Amino acid sequence: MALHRAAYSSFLSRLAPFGLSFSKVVRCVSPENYGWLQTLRCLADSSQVSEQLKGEDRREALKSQQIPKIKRPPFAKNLFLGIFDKEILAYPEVLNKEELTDLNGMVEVVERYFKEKVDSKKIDNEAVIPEETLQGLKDLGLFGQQIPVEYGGLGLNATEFARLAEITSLDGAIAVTLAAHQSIGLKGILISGNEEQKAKYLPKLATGEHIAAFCLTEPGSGSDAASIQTKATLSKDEKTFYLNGEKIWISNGGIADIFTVFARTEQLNERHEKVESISAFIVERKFGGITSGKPEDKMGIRGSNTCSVHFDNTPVPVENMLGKVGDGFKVAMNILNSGRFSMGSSAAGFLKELLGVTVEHAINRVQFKKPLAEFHMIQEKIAKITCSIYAVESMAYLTAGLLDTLESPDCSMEAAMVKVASSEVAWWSISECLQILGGLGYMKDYPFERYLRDSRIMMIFEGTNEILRLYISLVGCQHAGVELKDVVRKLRNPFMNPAFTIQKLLQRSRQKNDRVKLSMDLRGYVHPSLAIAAEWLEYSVMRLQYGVELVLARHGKVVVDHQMELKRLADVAIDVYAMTAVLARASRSYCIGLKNADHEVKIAYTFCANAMKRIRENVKDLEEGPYMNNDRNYQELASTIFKNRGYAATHPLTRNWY
Amino acid sequence: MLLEKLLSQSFTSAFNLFNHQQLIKPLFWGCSKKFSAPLLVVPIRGSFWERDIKGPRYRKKTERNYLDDMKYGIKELKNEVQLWKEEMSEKFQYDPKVYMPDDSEIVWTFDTKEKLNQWVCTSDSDNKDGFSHCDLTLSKNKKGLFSGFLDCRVPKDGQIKESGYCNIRCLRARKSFKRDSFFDWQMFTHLILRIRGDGRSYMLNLTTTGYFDVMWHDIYNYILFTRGGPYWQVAKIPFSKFFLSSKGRIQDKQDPIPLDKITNIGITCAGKTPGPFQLEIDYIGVHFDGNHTEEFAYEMYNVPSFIVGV
Repeated sequence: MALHRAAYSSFLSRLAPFGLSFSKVVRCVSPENYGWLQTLRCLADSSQVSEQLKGEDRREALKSQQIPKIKRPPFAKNLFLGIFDKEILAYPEVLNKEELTDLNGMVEVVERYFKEKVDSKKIDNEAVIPEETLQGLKDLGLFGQQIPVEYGGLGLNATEFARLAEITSLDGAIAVTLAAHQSIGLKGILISGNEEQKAKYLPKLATGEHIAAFCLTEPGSGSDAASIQTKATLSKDEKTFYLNGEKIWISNGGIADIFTVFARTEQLNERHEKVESISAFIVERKFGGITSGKPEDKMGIRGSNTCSVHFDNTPVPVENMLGKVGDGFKVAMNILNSGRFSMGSSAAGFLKELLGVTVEHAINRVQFKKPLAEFHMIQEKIAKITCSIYAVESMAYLTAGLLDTLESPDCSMEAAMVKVASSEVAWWSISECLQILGGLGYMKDYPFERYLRDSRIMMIFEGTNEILRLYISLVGCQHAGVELKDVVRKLRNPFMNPAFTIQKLLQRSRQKNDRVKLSMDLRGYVHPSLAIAAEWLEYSVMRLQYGVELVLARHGKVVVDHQMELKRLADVAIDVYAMTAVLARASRSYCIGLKNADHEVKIAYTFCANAMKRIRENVKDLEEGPYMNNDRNYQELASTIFKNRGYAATHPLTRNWY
Repeated sequence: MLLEKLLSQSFTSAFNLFNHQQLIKPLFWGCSKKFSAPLLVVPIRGSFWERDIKGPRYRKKTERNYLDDMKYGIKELKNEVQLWKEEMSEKFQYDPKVYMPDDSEIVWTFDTKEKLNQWVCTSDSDNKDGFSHCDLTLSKNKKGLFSGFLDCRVPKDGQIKESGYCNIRCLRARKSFKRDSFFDWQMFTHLILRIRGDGRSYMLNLTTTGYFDVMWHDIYNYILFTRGGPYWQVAKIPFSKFFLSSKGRIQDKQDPIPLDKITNIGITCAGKTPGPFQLEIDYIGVHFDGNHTEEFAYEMYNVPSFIVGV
């Protein structure tokens, strides 16, 4: 009797109810994977309760009896140790049914406003946002999105905020004005402000009556925020600080009424020595002594107001200090770290819009008797743009989900990854869209050149991508370094630890041959149709850990000085996080059967294959070291150029014989 | 103690069912004695062992005339030998078909009366289970036209609770001498149909009748969504999306479709929208998409015991 294997197993499985045992290969979900499940249950419970409540009360009740937050180890940091929190592969479900309906209603209203009332071209030409447009935004409540309801804001959580950012980013200038106001400008009061400060400033900021700005950058201090020179000197009566100094490139600097200013303060330490440290202050324009320079004429985001701000003996009462004396640097970093995640959804927002216009053009434009859409190189571009947008969108909402569902989330690294990835994807994707449009894209009649100019700032502000790459890899290495201290010490003295060395060599032989042993069973945590991509992800995680170990063993503490290697580590980590987000989202979509879910699965495979290719390349470069991977050449070439103060090669027409 | 007693009782009665006239007994779905509990009560005669593929209710008893059977058999013998010869020559020539990515093969067309004869139309009115009727005819542009009237009225016989289906099904794949065979579509990834529908959703059925009675009614289903209107559409459905059902019940324990064991294909029109329907079919075929690697589109998690509905 020849029985087909599958038929046989299906036959056996049907016998199971009769108590007959059988072995069958099925994926197991471990019990700890049910964390999200609990979340779902809570959602179900909360919606039952809400049946009895109405309107605002209901929303209040929902907010108050939120899902209990889950405590989990930091995800991205642990990646550097090769530890992968599998639960993240269950894409977070943050909003319940009512919250989602509310949000969609809000999105619809804002979207209509942007489509009908906002003339981006005019804003760009005249380099100013019209007063009535700003008033409209204020009326919509967009100036107080994350401010709690009790202070008159919308009280949005990170996910809802990210969703609205998708729409507000349709105009770069407005997006930056809003971001400067609430993502950085007033974030300090939200995060570190005390009750009095919140009660005093937030209500007016929420309505947009007051606009906020964030003053950190100075002529001599950009990415190196610790080197600012603005001084705050305490008056004799110890009731007022006097601010003196210049801040440049301050978004909203000309229109803001409230400034979050960082300045040096002097205080005495326990040995009564004078120590300088950085503190943060809330400064009102009406305190006096504040002058704004003329608005800068910028390449992109032209409608947003950027100018320098001078402080000349501006008196600031002591109670306007954010946090304690010397907390300034911490406050600044907290503000910047918490604001970055929404850049992912912003980028996704306008890129989706642009992709639509581009696709329309590619379908209608006929060349060589064929529409552009049928040319393979155009198809490749469109597909790659799609994959990038999908990755950025998934990363942004995963990070927002983590911020919303975790207890005291440690997501600054994730947010930095989202920022780096999204800004680069935005620049590259718009450039490709423009390429598909050909000459039309270059014309000012189309929005592409404006978006290209607008998006260029994303790689520069809120921490340049270079600084953020260093941040990602250094924080990761620091986290790993604590655990790997002993390992690294032994690795660096192989002959003193022969047994350890031999053991490690054996372990590494697989990594050396690029045949990593997969033991995490990630394929069991996604839909079976994505199992192969999950294995690629697992491979990538193991490779990242190998790379970290290599670099730490090679350089130890001076790893800080090897930026090219750190950059590679950061790139690998970003790709791993992107793969994680993409897989988790595609798996969710496919499991619950969203529209075009199989398209998402295909995107996930395409993206993961490319990401794995990049990771393989980067880790190989790390393995080979500076003499093989060109790093040494880059350094030597650059040093010659710097010595020569410019291009050093002689002109090709030069003769040295006559 | 009580549970154990009940358990043993149910099994003894299951084994003694040929002698007993009892129809209803509790059936236990628990795995170990400790957790056994009766979850449903089903007629044991229908669940433990089945005598007849059609089920006792639908078996029509006819008086057989053995002389006629023999006459018919001898007449058929000539064709069967011819078929067997072809099979043998094919076997010795050994020239199997090789398919490349993006190849398709059309398996059924509907352009002649003879081809329509390979299909069987059934509807609930055939067994006095309802009032629908249907037909597979040749349309005026020489395509198959599956049409009829779907009626959801329930006959008042006190037993039937729901009603209303119309169905066409091809004859089972077979070899010479009336031996059963299978369609072997392991090389293919998609089912393709060129159709012109009326906007209704139809059900596609791939039957994989197995050897044992529990596998007799294995059918893999997927929905065929149609557009109304004058245009033809080509539906290309991955085999991986078909899900297993048995006797009309979607199974908890799913499995990928065994593509070398397909016995019939069918199209069902059913649902809660009574009225006329028509589906014009140009061809039904199979397609090999080299980029489609998915084996089965549904989750196969082994959920921990006693968690229901997740």
